[in-house]
This record gives sequence, C-alpha cells and structure tokens, in this order.
Amino acid sequence: MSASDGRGGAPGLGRRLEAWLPQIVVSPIFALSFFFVYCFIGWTIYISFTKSRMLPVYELAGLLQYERLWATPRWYVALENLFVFGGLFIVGCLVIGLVLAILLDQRIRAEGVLRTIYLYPMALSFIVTGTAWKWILNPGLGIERVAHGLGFENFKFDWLINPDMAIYTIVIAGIWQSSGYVMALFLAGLRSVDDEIIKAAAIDGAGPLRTYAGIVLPMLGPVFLSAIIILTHLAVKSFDLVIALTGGGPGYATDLPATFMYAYAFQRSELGMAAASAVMMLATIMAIMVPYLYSELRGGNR
Amino acid sequence: MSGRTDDIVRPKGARQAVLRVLLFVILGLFAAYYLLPLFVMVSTSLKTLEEIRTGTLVSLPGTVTFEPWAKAWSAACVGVKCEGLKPYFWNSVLIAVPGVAISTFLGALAGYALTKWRFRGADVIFGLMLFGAFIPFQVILLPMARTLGLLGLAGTIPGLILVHVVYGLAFTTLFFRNFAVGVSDSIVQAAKIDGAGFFSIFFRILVPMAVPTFGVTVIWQFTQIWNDFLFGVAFTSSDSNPVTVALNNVVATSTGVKEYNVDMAAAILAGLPTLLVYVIAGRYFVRGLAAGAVKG
Amino acid sequence: MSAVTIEGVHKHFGGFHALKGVDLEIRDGEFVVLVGPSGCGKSTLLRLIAGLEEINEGRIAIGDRIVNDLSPRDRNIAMVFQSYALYPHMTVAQNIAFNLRLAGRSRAEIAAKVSAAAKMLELESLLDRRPAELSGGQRQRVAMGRAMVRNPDVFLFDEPLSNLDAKLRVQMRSEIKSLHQAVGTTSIYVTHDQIEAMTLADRVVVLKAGSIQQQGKPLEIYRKPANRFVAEFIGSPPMNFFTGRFLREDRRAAIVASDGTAIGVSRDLAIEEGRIVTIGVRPEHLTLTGDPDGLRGRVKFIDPTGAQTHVTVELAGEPTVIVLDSAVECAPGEILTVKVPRDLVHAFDADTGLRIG
Repeated sequence: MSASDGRGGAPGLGRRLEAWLPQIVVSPIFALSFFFVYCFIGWTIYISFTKSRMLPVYELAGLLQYERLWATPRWYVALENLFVFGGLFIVGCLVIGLVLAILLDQRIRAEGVLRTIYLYPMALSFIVTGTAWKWILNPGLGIERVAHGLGFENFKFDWLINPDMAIYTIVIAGIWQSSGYVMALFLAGLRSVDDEIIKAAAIDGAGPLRTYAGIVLPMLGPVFLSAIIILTHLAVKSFDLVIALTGGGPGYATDLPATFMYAYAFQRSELGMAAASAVMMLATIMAIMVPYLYSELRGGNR
Repeated sequence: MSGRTDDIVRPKGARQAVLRVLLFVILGLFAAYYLLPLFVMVSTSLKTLEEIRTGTLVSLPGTVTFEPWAKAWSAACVGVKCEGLKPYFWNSVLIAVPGVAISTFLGALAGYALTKWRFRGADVIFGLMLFGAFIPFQVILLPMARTLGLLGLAGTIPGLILVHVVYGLAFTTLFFRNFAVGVSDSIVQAAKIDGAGFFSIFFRILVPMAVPTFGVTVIWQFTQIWNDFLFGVAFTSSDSNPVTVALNNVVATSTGVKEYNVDMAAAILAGLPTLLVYVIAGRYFVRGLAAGAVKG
Repeated sequence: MSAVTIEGVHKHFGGFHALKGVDLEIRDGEFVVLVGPSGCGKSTLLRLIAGLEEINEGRIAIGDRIVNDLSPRDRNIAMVFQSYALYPHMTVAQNIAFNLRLAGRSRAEIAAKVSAAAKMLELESLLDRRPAELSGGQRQRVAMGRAMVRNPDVFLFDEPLSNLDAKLRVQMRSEIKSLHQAVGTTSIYVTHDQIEAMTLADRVVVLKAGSIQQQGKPLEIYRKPANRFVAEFIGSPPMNFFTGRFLREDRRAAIVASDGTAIGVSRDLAIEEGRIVTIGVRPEHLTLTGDPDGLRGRVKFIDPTGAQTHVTVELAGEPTVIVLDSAVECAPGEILTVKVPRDLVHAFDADTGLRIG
C-alpha cells in the first residue's frame, strides 16, 4: 500500500474526520433549532401546567392555568375576535385575490405595474402602514371628514373607537395587507394551467365564463388549499395589525390570542396563563398544519 | 407565461371594448385602494399641521414642507426621549445586517449538507427544522426572554440578532434545500472526483451557483427582520429598540399636540428600506413569498 | 496508469442486492466496457470504483492500493458523466482547470495543461464560454478535457454518449477510441448500447442482475456467447431462438421443434439423444436458398434499413429475423426458403440457458 503521489495511502485522521463533516456541520445548526424550538415549546407547555405567575414555578399544578384561562372573559373575546377576524379575513382575501388574479390574467399591458402595486403591502411592516390606516379610519379626521367635505354631512364612521365594530377595521386592514399576496398565488396557479386545455375548451365551444368556472377553477384546488392554510396561519399569528391599529382596544375589544398572550406575559406577569394561551395557539396551528404538511411531504417531496 | 391566444379568453365583437374599459376601471380602483395608505402617508408628511387641520386626508399638500421629515428623523419624541428615529433606525441596521448574514450563511450550509451529503436521518432533521417555520412565536416568547436573561443578552442588540438567526434558520434552510435539490448530484460527484471536499464544493461550486437563491433569501430575511415588531417589543429595551418599536412609540406618544405629519414621515422613514428593496428587487421578493410563505 | 482489481464485490441498496460478488481483473492500459440492460449493476460497479458509493463486501484495488476506504479524490481517477456534470458558473477553461487548481498546481502548469487538452479536443476557441453556451457535443468534449488534464490512473465513463444524437454519438465514439489509443490510460466504460461496447472495447464485460455473465474480446463474445442472455443481448438485430428435441441419425443431427420442423445442426454437439435444447442463429447468418432441404416460412414483416433489409419470417412456429441485402425483393405473405448454417448454430440448455459445446 504505497501512496503513489503523496495524496493517497491509508485514510488519515483528517480524511476520517472529513467523512463526518456533513454531520459535524449540521449538528450545531440543528442543535440551535432544536433547542430554541422544541426545548422552548416544551418549557412553555410545562409552565402552562404549573402555578407560575410573576416568576416561573416548576411545581406541577395540573390544569389550573387552563381552568383560569377558560374562565377569563377577555380570552373569550380574543377567541371570538379570532373567529370573526379569521373568517372574514380568509374569505375576503380569497375573493379579492381570485378576482384580481383572473382580471390580471386577461393579458393586461400594465400587469407588471399593477402586480407590484397589489403586492407591496406585504413588503411593509404593518406598524408602518398601520400609521396611515389609523388616520384613514380616524373618526373626525379620516374618511369621515372626506365624506363631510363631499357633502354627506351625516356620514359617521367611528368603527375604530366603537367596541362592537373595531374588529372590522382590523379585517379591512388585514385584507388590504394580504389580498395582493393571495392574488399572486392564484395568478401563478392560473399561469400554470396548461394553455392547451383552455384551447381545447374553446374548441369545444366553452365561452370565457364557462372556461373559468368549469375548467380553470377546479384545477386551482391545490392553490385554494394552500392559500387557506397560509391565511389561517397569518390570522392566528396576527399581532402587529392589532397593536398598530387599536392596541387591542377600545378596552380589550379587539384582542386576539396573540395580543392576549403578550399582554398576560409581559404586562400582567401571568406566566402560567400566558403559557396556557400560547399552547392553545400552538395547538390550533398544529391542528391545521400537521395534516397539511404530512400530505404535502408524502405526496411526492416538495 | 406564454401568451394565450387572444380570442379564446377574450370575448369577441363589440362588447369587447366595453368589457376592456370596465376591466381597467376595476383594476384601477383596486390599485387606488392599495395605494391609498401610501398616498396618505406621503402627502400628509409633506403638509404643515395647519393644513392638516383644515384639509382632508385626500387633499394634496398646498405648500410642501420637509420639516416633519427632519423632525421625525432627529427630534421626534420616542417615549420621553426626543432624538427622533435616527438611533433606532441604526439599531435596526445593526440587527438586520448580521442577522441576515448569519442566518443566510447557516441556512445555506445546512441546506447544502442535508441534500448533497445525504446521511442517515437527514430528512428527519430537515423536517424537524422546517417545523420551526410554522410555530406561532408566542409559544417561545417566555423561555426566550428567560434564556436571553441567563445569557446576559436581555434587552441588547446581540440578543435580538440571536433571536432572528435561530427563528430565521427554518426559512433559510428551506430556501437552500429547495435550491440544492435542483442541482444535479453528478455535479457534486464530479467535484468530489476533481478533488474537492465538503467545504470546497460548498464555496466553489454551490455558492457561485446559488446567487439567485442568495438574493431571495437575503431579501426575505431582511424584510422579516426589518419589519419585525413582536421580537423587538418583547426582547429589547428603549435604547436597543428597533425602528418599528420606536415608530409605534412615536405614534402612541400622547403628550402635547398630535403631529400627524411627523408620524407619517416617521412611518415612511421606517418603511423606506424594505419598500426600496421591494421596488428594486421585487422579483426576488415575490419568489421568496412563493417559496417560503407557501410553507409558512 | 494502473491495473484495477475487483474481488468478490457486493453492494446492497436497502433490500436490493445490486452487485452479487463481482470479480474482475482489468489490465493496465486496457479499455474495458461494462454492458448490460438497465438495472444490471454496471453503473453501480463504476461508482464503487470511483468511490461514490461504499462497498459492502469485497475489495477494489487500483494499482497496488486497496481503495475501499479512500475518498474519490484520493483514488486518482477521472470520470465522465452521462450529464457531463460541468460546473455551470465556470468557463470551459475553468472547468478543465478545476482539479488542477484544487491540487495547488502552479499557474503556468495549469495554463499549459489546459491548452494542451484544449488543442487535443479542438476546444481552443471555446475556452472562455460557459457550458450553457455550448452544444451537446462540445460539452461532452469539455467533460473529456476535464478528465484528461489530470493524468489519472483510470478513466471512468458513465454512459457518456447517451445524451447525444445518433450522428454525433458515432463521431464521439471514434474520438474516444483514438484518444485512448493516443493516451493509453486504463479505461472503464459503462453503456447499455452493445454496438458502443463492441466498437470501443478491448474487452467487453456483460452484466445482468448484479453478476458478470461473460467477459472477453468483442468478437469472442459475439462468436461464442456463454449463455442465452449474452447471445440475445450482443448482436443486432438479436439472435433468433428455437427450442426442440435433439435427434441424431448416422450422418446428421437436428432439432425437432414442437410443430415438427427439423432444423439441421452440427453433429459434433455433445448432446444426448432426446434432450430438449434451445438453439440460436444470428439473423445475419441466415440466407435464402433454392435447396429443397431449406426451411420454408411465410414473410410477416419487412423493415428496410438501407443497405440491408430485416425480414421477419415465421420459421418452425417462431418469428425469425433474417438480414438480407436490400437488393433482394420480397413481400409480406410470400414464402421464403431459408438456409440455417449448421456450423453457426449456438446451442443452449433449455432450462439454465448455458451454452452447450
């Protein structure tokens, strides 16, 4: 076993180490992820089963925090808001997104510009755009005054400070922010429909409406599914939207689980309840994501 | 994108012109809806307070003034301090630049190692890492706050960088894994035979090939980190606040006369970097949305 | 330059036994072609030699070094891939020089070697282009150049011509052959194309289902296939087969097929009377005859290929291909009388497929 050119010979320590390099490189990166995701989730779940308030206590206390959580009216408000907001937000984004995608698919010359305009809200923090929305929706200064200026003296638009209506301002702003993104998803889906199928439909005598309703839309099923999943995910995680627009108010009328958790964790120092509410959020997301991911990963990688 | 034959989807005949006009009207109205907040921000930031009081939000500024911009940048009050957004803007830069660089580099390395050196368990590791992209961050806020405290990083910029790096990894790894899956295995094998090892294949073959993926990832991470509010508000103290948190404080400051023009100027300043990135490299941003956000 | 020794090599992929104990000695400077249908293990064997897969059992040596545990870069081999695997972001010159740069060779040496290789492969005008700007044949040449500059002990080729169109394939085939004659480096070449195997090889190794079926000079294998599989795989159009009972009379011997047709064979075959055997005759060895003793059959199909015409005739109940000069005119339905040359008949065991005699 002679090394013929000085590069060969029996594998030395360096070479043997090299065989393990991929694992050696991935391990710390994975360890970071694992620690900061899984260990942290574990810690939060554990704390949700303790009596922790100001400071973490590691003595288990059963379902105490969950009982307290579900006995808190504010939590019910947050949940109800999530359903109202989530439902309207998802439907609104889907409808507007789909309509815009179909309209943009008609070989529009200005498509590039319009697409850029429809999508820019996704690139900006809502803390930024919320500043404008807050002013637009401001009773007295915003659209109300515009309407007055146009002669509609009795026009009143005070949703932002009306506890019963404030959540709808969040819906309006939420749809404004995310519908362009849904448009982009649908547009990509429409573009991936085989042109030949559409031609075949035309040859079969289907008009444009029939072509869309009967042929193109059914083929967009998977796009609908992923759009709904993404929007649900966005809805459950919504935080900036509420903070920037209403701060959760008036009172706690526009609380969502995300802001509820934050308030209990950092303002009221109710660690246990905050943890319990975070676990509820995680469970909600998992109930939607796990089956979706499972079917995605099983159904032909990526 | 190949052009569809016009007369198939487009109705023929005299109705066509009418429908075409209607189409543009609808698309134009939507464009106005999307642009309205941006318009309101820009026009209001250029007005004097006097004009704001007398006009409406859709009226154009009569006399353009840049004073609100100057004030927002260097004199607006954030809480009790009145130094403008400037220091916080730089905080955001100091957080975003290393945060983007580190998470992109680590994600590139992990995505490459997990696909091109498929060792036992690589898929499981990737699946577990990917999961991190879907969790609601509320579930890690409390332990993160404690861990940063234990590390002595509570309320500091390095602490926030760490947070952004670890929770950005799922996305950056996903982007690079998707890229690396598309690179033919035989290119890596050819490089191995040519004498390249793990790192030389990465730096000399994969990285130069991945320039567009780096574009997508850097833009995605930059947008995420710059726009972040939750981590900033939870883990930084007043001196280390990123610009989004400072902006929220400016807007929420209730002492004295409400200076809407300054608020709007501050908002534009805070949003300018990501808006510029979007306008200049929108193509990459949209690709990132498609690749990353479809999964998260 | 080096010999390559393969001893008792096994490879498993999960539950799939890809190589089942392969032994092969490749002499220094020899051009060996591994050929077989897809899934036969030929590419796996090549990848084991390259070090791209791990050996489960057995040994591979290049020269006098056992390379089982060496990484690909320590084996001093070069490989040409089916997809060429050129680095898309590098120019032709950089692609060719990559190995030399990694090895830390001097600028002057690299430049000299690259230009020598480029000259040999007629790539000089393309050195600054990127792979995307090259045609398939040019890419193939760059892949060859990348392999050549490093002066490897062994060249490995993994179906390097299968992505080229037919015309270019023939041209590149002869280029590879003349390169080997010029350089003389030990070469191992994998292909599923038996014509490529026959034209290029000093020695052909036929594989099937992870085992070597036969190895030898191309014409040896053509003339004396070791079993029915090799007989069918090597040669185009493939050999015709008939199964029947062996009968011997004082002067003559024949196989009697199930429909009663008797096909005359050589008396020298060591087969006991009455045994069922399979015989094979190559299409190019069958001729038309006026002899009334010939076999008569009806023409089913006619496939003109240019110089020759492939005629399928029903003989002894089997569709049988005959290669005829295209000057011969015939039409479907016509009855032809075919002569089977006794001395060119191959006999195989009907069950094991092994050659008899």
